Amino acid sequence: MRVAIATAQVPFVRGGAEILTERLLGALREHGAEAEIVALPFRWHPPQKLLDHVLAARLWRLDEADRVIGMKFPAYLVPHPDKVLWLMHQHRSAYDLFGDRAGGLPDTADGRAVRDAVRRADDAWLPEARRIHTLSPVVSERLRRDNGLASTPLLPPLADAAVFRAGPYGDYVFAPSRLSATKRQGLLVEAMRHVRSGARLVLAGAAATPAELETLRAAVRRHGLGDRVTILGHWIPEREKVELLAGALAVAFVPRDEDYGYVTLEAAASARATITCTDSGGPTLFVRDGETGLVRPPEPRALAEAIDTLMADRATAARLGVNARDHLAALDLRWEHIVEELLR
Amino acid sequence: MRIAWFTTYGGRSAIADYSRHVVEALATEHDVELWVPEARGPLRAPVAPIVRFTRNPLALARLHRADAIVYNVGNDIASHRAVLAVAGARPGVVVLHDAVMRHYYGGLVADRTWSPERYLRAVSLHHGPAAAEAVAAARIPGGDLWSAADTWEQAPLFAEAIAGAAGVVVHGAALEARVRAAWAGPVARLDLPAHPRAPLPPPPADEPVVLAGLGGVTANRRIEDVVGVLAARPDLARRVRYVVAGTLADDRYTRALREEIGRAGLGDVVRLAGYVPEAELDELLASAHVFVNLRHPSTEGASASLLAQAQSGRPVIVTDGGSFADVPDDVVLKVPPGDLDALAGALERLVADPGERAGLGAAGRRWAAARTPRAYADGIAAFLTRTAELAPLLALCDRVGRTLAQDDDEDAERSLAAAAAAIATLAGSVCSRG
Repeated sequence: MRVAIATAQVPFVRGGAEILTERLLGALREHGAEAEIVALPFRWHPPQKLLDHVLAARLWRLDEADRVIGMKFPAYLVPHPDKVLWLMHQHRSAYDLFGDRAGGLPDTADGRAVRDAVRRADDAWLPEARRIHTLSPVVSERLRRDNGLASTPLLPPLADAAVFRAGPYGDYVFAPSRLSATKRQGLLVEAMRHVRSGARLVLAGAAATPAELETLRAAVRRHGLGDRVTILGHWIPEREKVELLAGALAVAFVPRDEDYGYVTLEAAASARATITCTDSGGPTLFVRDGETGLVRPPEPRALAEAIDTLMADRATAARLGVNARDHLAALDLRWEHIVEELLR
Repeated sequence: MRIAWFTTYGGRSAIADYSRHVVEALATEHDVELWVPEARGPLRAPVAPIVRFTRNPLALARLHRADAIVYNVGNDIASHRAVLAVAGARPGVVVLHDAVMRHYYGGLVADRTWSPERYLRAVSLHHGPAAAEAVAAARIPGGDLWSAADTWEQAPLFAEAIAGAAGVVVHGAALEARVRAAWAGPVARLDLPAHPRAPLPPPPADEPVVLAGLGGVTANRRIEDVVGVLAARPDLARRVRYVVAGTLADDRYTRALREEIGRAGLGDVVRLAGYVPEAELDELLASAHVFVNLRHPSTEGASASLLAQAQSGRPVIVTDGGSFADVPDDVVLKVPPGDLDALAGALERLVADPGERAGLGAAGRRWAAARTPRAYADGIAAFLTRTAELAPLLALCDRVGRTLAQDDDEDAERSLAAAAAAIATLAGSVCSRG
């Protein structure tokens, strides 16, 4: 069976979506499919450019493929008689992030016009798919709310859960993620102002923009947190990440309405509790407050209290972490299952 | 909504008067800036912040902040050239005040901005090769292409002025039909607003009956028709005075008119008053019993002078054609073009019957009263919102069309068809409303 994975990529920019796509490709090939990634070069600025991309996707012809798996906007709109979607997310700039400073589509006449056209495109062409799967219940709920479409979540597993290990519970909270306003590392820096214990914070990840990195660094300087907050403002190698997870007190992951949240899975695989927020979306699917981590409102003092709680009681930190690992194992997330569903 | 309103805003332009009243109404609800081409000299009242953009071209960089741009465009090259130049670079909504734009493009030929060949190519593009041949054949030897008045209707060239626009506003049904036939983008027809004026006192009860004409004195005003009727009917001529107020724009025509008036012994009956500023117009309007507005052929999309006349409560005689054909038959007295007997009959009826004058005048006043700047401002604001929704999609059509036009094979045709279908879906109801 020839399978085309239809996705979009900002050329030479690699992130979680690209990694997930490659993992799916590997899993499909392992399953025996003749699979390829077909990626549309994507830009979101200026806003009108989005419409060019939508049109480009509609003019694609993937006749050579027996099955198309659509993953990212607008490539998932490609017409094909045997298309199944595994939707990472809609183009959120046109939905819940519209008008958001970090969202990309401005609340101007042009921005509104492009937003409406993107929504019309989704409404008209998403239902062409034979089945719609999503990355998580969070994405499914947005699809239901915004487009009135039913879908089934297929939760992706970690690529290689075996590489993660659990070490002694250290004195730092680890927060590995791209540094950006939507991931809200600034909230964690603010929280550190209120932390009474000796806990430290380690942020690791490439910055979405140089300005966002500088904003975080400035906040650390302004609050005199230089000796308690470490910012590794670049992608860290996988091995380094595994080690930092293995020695952490806990993991903090406090994005706003995240689609899924691999970080939470990695924390669980390392037997670490995750501190997350009530509005963080995907992470709250895994983190049950007081069982596999701590869920707090997106407020600095509340997060500081959570950090202090785990610092003061390492046994609890360990118990929540082990619970998280057991919970992850019980979910039995496997690529075979995803591939079977997508090729069904 | 932030609106950049491009318009001529000085001199004797009716478009400047229109902009003054419309922008005044628009500015009560929206954030409007008046972008005017006049680098110096007096302007109409500053009813909104004014940007003299030819004096400060860098100001154009601010246009990206506007939610909507409006370009008021007419046939006079001196008034509209700078506005159309910006319109060509930054798409916006074009208010097409004239149904005929060929004098504008003829002006480009006259000042050598365009070659005659380019002009004929434009005629061929918009009106077909036969029209281009007719225009070329009608060219006066040694003269400018636009001197050939008999090809106005055949090759009006308005489509050149609206190419690439985000939308087009017209003021008459006839022009609307022509624009829709030539252009696929969104079109709105709005009623040209009457300017707010204080009610006029009734005209003097005694004779002579004052016949008045308003607007620039050019051959298409058909003033010679009225002179001809009065010359042939001394009884009628004794009972009237005929005053024409408007710029004496065509020396040759004015000279011929004066000669004819002299030959017919109508020196005491007919007066060419020249340009009358808007501030002094009320006096003239108040003295008139009947307006005669025979403009034919007409280059306008709608007649501002007819509105002012109807608003005065006096009856108006018009030629049945052009934008006057849009006016209901019970509001004005229409006479066929060039039919002097019909014109004489209409004049004799109105001179003889004050009751009919009053009835027709009241109908005209009611017709004009419904056309307010407020209603117009609301109408154009709604249209600007709609075109803003469509603008990125029109730009997309333009990009796709230009790209695919470079190929003429079957694949390109198929892609064009698929692209058209996809863009229609993206446009959704915005497109069907357009």
